[in-house]
Amino acid sequence: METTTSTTRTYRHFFIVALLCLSAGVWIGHLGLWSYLLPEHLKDILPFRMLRAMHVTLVVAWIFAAAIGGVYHYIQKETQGNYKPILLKIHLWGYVLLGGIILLSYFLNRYGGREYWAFPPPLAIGIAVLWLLFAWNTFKAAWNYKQEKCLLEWPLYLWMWATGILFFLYTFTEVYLWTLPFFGKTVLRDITVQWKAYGSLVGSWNMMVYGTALYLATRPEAFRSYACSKTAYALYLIGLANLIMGWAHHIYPVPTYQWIKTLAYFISMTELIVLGKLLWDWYRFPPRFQGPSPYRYYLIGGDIWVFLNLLLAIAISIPAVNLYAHGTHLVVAHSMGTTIGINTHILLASLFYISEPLLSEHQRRRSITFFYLFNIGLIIFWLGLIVAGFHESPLIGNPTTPHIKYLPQSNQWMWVVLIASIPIAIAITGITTILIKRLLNAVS
Amino acid sequence: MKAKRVFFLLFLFLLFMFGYSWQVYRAFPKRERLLSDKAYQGKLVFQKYHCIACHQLYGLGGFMGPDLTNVISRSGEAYVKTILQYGTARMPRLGLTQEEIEAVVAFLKAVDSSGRFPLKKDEYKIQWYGDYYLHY
Repeated sequence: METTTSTTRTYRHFFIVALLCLSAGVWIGHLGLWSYLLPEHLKDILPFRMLRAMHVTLVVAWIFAAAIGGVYHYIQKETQGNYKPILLKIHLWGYVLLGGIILLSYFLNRYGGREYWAFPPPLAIGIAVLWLLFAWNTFKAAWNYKQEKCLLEWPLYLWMWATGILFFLYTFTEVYLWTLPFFGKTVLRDITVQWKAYGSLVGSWNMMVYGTALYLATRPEAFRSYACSKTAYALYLIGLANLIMGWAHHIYPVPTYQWIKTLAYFISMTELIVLGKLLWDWYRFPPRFQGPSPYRYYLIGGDIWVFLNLLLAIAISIPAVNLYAHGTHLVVAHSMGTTIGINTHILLASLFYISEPLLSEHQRRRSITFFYLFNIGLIIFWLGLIVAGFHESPLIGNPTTPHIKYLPQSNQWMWVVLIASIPIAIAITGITTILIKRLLNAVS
Repeated sequence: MKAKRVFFLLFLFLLFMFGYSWQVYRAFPKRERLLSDKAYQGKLVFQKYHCIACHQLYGLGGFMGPDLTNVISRSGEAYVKTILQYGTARMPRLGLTQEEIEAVVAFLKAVDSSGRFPLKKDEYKIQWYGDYYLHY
């Protein structure tokens, strides 16, 4: 058993919290699908609005907790910086307490916020304070590193984590601008700013997750210099531009200023460069699922989901295509593909990378089996949402068609989505059980 | 020297970012109207019951129920009030007070007058490069 310090114990606790959130989030999402498809029977026992809010909160909590734990762990490894154990503990237990209060508020039907951040707005203050603590901890640790190395020589993943941390604070503040009458007492301005904040906020956590992916991908000695290369920095700048201005592809049909939307269109098309780079890399180094390391499987899985989601994201960012995709399950396929497909694969890769020395041969093999089960379920789930979206889109352009008319066509595919969510939930439960067992052993 | 150049570029970047954000914040399109106090109350009620989990405004939100952007002009105030009061086979009875129902209707009327969704064929024009603009 390796010796664990107080700080390593704390960020391992972050991982355990993250995995519990993931497992619960996926099962609640599954229940939400039942509620979506059979509201006549379940609307009072399992209200969709409550399950959706819980599902979103838990999955977002998974992404943040796994990313935060990873950033703490890797920054300490990279910079040799030290954290104050008490501050890490306050962060962890504050996170758990706040998450519990948010879930309780949903359970008691106390809302007041908006889509995705549906909890009563005062709780957002707690999130902001905890994030400031996270920023303080990480920047303080990285400061020692800065003194040793010039800022310009930082590997890109450090810049990506820093970008994600700072942009979250900025965009999270934007999310709550609606509480000011200047924004809240309007319709179009409010929707515009809301989606500016949401789009950029997702971009900010993506910076943290993709920074983690870059860190993992550059661990083999042969690839280490890539983290400081001009190509990597160029791709980062594309990501940054999309983070700041790409959001408006969500609001093409909203009658706000055209320049905001046209700019977003052109910025979104820069993702074609990322797509081209990904294909070029695959041509040079074809991805191979082999070897005993589960983290490599999950990292390559994340890469494949980046490719699939880029195709979908670029397609629905073209306004003429978006006309038919907006307001349908095609958009849900995009968000599920991003959160479950890309983020979850990368973060699981990160957790497997950290836990690898603790895993037995049998656990590695099982983790790889669960990887395949997870992906079989996920691809059917994703395609089901896309086909459901196609069924809805011709009718979206016909305002006289009542919603109830196109539900049967769309819902037959939502049943496929529900069935596909079962292997996903089983695989996630299996993966989280393996990882939690190992992490618990390591911290005890 | 190199560091100074980088910090200058960083400063320019931040200037651009805040300038861009400010332009977005102050956008007040021609169809925009300030919400009345009653409509604003309705908006808060809409959030209090988390309606957006199942419904959409401008196609943004949950897909379980219909888009509500133009529900007032499409179905009428009386219909909306009845649904809000009693629910439907798919929608739970939320227990809104009469005052809350009136406020939500005022909010939905304001949304209705702000634009159209879904768009009809004669309400948008596709440009040669794939963008489209609204002209209703």
